[in-house]
Amino acid sequence: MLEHYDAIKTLADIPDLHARATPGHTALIADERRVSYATLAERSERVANALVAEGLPRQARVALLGTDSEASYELLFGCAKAGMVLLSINWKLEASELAYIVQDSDAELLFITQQMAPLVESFLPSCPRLKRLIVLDGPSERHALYPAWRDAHPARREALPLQSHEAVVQVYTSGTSGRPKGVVLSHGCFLDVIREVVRAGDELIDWKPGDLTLLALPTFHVGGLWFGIHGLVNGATNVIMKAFTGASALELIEAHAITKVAFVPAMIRFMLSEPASRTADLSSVDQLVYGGSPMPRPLLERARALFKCRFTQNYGLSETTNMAVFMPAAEHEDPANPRLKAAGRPLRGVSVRILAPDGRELPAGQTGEIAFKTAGHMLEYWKLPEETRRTLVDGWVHTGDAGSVDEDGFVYVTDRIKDLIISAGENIYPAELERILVQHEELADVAVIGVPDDRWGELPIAIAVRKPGSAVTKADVLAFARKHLASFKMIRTVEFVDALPRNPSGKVLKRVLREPYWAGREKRVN
Amino acid sequence: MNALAGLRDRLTPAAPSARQALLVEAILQFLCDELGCDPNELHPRSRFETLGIDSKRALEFKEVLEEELGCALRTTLLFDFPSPESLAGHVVGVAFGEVTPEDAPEPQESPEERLRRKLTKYDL
Repeated sequence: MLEHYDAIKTLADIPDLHARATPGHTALIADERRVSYATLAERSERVANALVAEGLPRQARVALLGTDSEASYELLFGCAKAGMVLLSINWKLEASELAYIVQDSDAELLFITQQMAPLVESFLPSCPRLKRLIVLDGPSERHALYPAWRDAHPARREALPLQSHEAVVQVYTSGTSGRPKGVVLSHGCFLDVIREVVRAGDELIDWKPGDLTLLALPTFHVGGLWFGIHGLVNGATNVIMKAFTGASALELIEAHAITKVAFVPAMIRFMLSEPASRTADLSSVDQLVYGGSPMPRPLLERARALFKCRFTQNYGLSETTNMAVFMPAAEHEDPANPRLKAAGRPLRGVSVRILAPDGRELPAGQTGEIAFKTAGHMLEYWKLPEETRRTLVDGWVHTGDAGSVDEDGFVYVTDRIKDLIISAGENIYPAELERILVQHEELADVAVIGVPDDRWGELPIAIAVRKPGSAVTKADVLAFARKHLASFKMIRTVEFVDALPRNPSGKVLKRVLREPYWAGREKRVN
Repeated sequence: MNALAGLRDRLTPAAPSARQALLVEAILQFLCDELGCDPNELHPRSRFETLGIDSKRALEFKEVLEEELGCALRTTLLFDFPSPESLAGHVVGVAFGEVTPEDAPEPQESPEERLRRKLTKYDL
């Protein structure tokens, strides 16, 4: 709805716009709680005032760690109104990874769900910049409670002059260097590209008055945040899932007559495997957006039989604020359409180039690194100027994905240049796993690679070299891995070799290790 | 061949009282094979979460059970019945018509509570 995008210049404008136009309309539903647009606007004002009262400066980092609720969005808009930056942290990470992100981000305030408190308290001493913890869902004897903290401050404030290019969100992605990186995004990153797409009348999400979305993707993933923000821009009612299960997704869609959904393919896989999928009434859904990993053709067909609605695909990265390329619904109509192997076409205002290793632009049909020029490009990797310069070159985001573009402009992702595994929609960087596994005292060397899997796209496995004289077993290494890796990053198996193949400069030749598992496949992504 | 292969044929002739114990043994063997665990690490009351069963593994395991037993099971099965012993009790009931797949126990804790104990493995 163009009038909304024209009226909204920053994220701070979103709740206020609808609070004026449709104050009583429900913006968010979390469990049985309903929050109207007027209440969302009021609470985000109070949050902004409370953040300022804490003595936090403009652009301070405010962290959120816990399952999503209406508070996730109150904090997002509160930060936006106060000119601060929200980072929602993946609560599935291990304590050491959480501690690293809190330290790296320089977060000064950390909002947590009650049950995260013991875990957070275990690493609190290592985060000296953190002023305090605030518990979202109480009770807590040691920490402030969010509703009281929020409501102790007035619901009116003088609006700050905000700039569209100011940072407002910091999303942590796994890193090729073995440590997560903070991707800094501005208000404009979320709004500017989409505003022009809507202005031109291009196909995207067909928002209508009365839409209800299911927010199944968490806010700690840029896709979840993006979908929630645009549902609110368009005045929809947004049903928040605390944690995804196939059964609860089916129940919520039916109970609320949800009209718009966004999933990674693995979530659809879970819903299809649920006995209730045979009887659930999903006829209210009119558009399903998917992305995050390739959708295998058989899964797409089963998904279309379950959701008899328009399917659209998006492809992008945290570094392009989720969107860069879009596959229209019409391309999904014919299951034999060869273009379904593509990720889609660049959105209006987004340019794509395929680059040779020396930076030359390659013609249509040739494979190289995919790069995008988009108003949605990240501002920077937080405190990583070198990595920022390598990824953001003259305004072009170098994706680390390899692929080609056809004569009609469709982008095909066929391989990865960066060392990354995508399993069930989650990005897993082998460097992070190798950094842990090499600490096993009986391993001399280890490499982690992704192998194709029909269910989950790819799965991580370890190729390891024992130290001389060691009889360490697969069970030993897996037990070690289970202790130190977040479960979604867990390696599926370990294979032992005498030595890892390396090039003359000592770099492990991952392509050589991967080849036996990928032989005979058209693409090197799955 | 996995340790759950031909499960229905193995359980059907057994006395109803013995089916759960047979299934527990089959589940333990399956987990040993799949996870590369030392059998001494496993016990009928071991919790799946502590064995590194995430939601992906849980779904795969559920689908193997469905295929071998010819019955429909919920995707949250391994979280609702968090040990081989409790799982086997429920699955035998579903497979042999004593309970329905929806007869899951009421959740005793929220997802965050499971998370705190590092027992929740919702990965999506």
